[in-house]
Amino acid sequence: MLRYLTRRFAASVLILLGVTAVTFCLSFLIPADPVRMIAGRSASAQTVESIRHQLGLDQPLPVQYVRYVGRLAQGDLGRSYVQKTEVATLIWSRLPATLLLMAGAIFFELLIGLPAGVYAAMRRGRTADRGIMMLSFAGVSTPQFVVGLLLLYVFAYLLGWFPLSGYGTVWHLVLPALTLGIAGGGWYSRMMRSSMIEVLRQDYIRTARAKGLSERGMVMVHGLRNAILPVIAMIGLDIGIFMSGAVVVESVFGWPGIGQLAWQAIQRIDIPIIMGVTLVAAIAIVIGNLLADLVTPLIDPRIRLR
Amino acid sequence: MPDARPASLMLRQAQHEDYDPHMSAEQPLLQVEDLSVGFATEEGRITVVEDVSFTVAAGRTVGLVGESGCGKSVTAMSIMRLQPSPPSHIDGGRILFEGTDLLALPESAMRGVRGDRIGMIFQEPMTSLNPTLSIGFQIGEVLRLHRGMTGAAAREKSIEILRLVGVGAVERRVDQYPHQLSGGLRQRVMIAMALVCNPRLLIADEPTTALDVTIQAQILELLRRLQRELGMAILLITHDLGIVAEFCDEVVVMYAGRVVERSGVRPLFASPRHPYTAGLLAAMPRLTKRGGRLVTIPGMVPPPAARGAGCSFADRCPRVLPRCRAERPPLVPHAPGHDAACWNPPP
Repeated sequence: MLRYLTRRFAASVLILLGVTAVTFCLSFLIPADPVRMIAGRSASAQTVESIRHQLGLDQPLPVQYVRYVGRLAQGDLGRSYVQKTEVATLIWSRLPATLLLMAGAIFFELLIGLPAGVYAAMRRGRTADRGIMMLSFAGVSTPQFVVGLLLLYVFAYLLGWFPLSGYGTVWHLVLPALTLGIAGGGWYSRMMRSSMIEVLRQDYIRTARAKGLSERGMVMVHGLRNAILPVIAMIGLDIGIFMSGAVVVESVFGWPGIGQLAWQAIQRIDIPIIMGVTLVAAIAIVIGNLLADLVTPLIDPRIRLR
Repeated sequence: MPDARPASLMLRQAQHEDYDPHMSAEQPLLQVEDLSVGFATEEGRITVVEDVSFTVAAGRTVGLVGESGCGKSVTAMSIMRLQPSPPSHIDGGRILFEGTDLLALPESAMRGVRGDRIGMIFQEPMTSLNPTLSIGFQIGEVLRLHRGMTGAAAREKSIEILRLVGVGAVERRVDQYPHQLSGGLRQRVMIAMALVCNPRLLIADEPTTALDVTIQAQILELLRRLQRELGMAILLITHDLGIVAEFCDEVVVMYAGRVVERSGVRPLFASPRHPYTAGLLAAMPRLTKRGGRLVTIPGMVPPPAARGAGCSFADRCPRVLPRCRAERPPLVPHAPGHDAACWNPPP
């Protein structure tokens, strides 16, 4: 186990290095000049060059990259070009809101997706199945701002059950998390359905029926255990995806998450923040996958960690 | 019918007591009456099992024999009401088990029969156990379900039944998972699971087909011993006449969805009354005739849609008469306790 974790850790470091390299190159390939953005349109050529020198942007790209990685190794993500604040501090301040929204979103995704998928699989080809699949299609394909505004209109404005916007209490969390959960739940229900249909074809399900189990008992005890495995892998991925922020939902609900930070940084070509957010998201994906891989053998004993 | 075992094993049929049709004058344990099962396909409804009737007396072993696709597994699954519906549908008949028509039972009552009064084992021991649950859990599940046992009691009983089916190092095995067991051991676990509630009938659908020949013999020996000790009846579905000769008291031969011959084992092997059975027997390889060509039955089983008014075997039959193609022969006694459906039976 320890050897497995060590190897996974080493592999993760390589992956993250690769991610920084690619992001770094991409940031400098964009045809806009971050220094111009900082200095403003009216700045003289001399000012621009002095800022460029100050930020080290006049150095060759490989030198800049090595310097960046060197600082990274010491835990320094750099400073924002625009806000002059430590990137680590900026991300750190957004982290609680992002993690909270992530937890809420995954909760709703599973709450909606798993029962819907299991039920659709049990009623395969019948009206209930078709209805659920249609709803899930709608959930997946409706733009998030439409779902978000709709929920806001009905539950916050008309009914007044939830606050309109902001961050702070658990009531603030419900609508944004539900918005993300509706889209994600659509995906999860489809995945759960196809996985469960596949499992229900297996010989051991026939055995379970021959033992005298009820349809529900059979699905809960024998079906779910086997069908949940791909879902767990997907939760692992979701952890990474939500860590890079949910830009649309954050803006609709005024949620102070990493997504908004990233969006503003991209608009201003604030490269240190873009790099930092990308790195944090990559780390989250690595951790999410690792967690999924660690949970899987607890459910399926045939899978061994090597 | 290919059979890899030495011919000496075939002779063991001689050890069986003679078949006596009057032995079970009282009601048989299982009585299948005119069972018909159809499937809904894209080309319309087809009938895969037609007017199948046979009985299984308490404590006896009946072999249900035929080629793949003859409807023997559908018949077995229909007794358990485990045929997926749709697409399959039971079109008629009765299945009387201990005097109750299983086809008329509500699903909840049928669940009480499965795994408790009737146990079932399958051809694929490698895939018939849930890979994510321990052996002990899967056996204990039957006891929790039908006997209301919990925790330690269910585990005790599971260990006991595993010992009975000849699993060694039981205390360790009970907590293992299926992938840690060989095919033979998994089939023993399946048998343990099917028998833990002491059912009156065990349906064994090709229980040894997927196993090595040496393991086959062990599993059959085990079933024979368990039958002696527990006194259950066995309905053995197989395509292997060698196993039937060794193991069964009575035989039901199916062809193209119908019963073509029904008899005690010895009369059937001594003088088959249906040309199909005779062909199957002739097709069994024997070591006595060295270097001879393997005998086969020419032609193919007609698909359900192509079965006409006459005998389904007519096109492959060496003894075919014009009447065979026009009129279906009924299943009638040709000797006491020996029924066959043929207009021109072999002498």
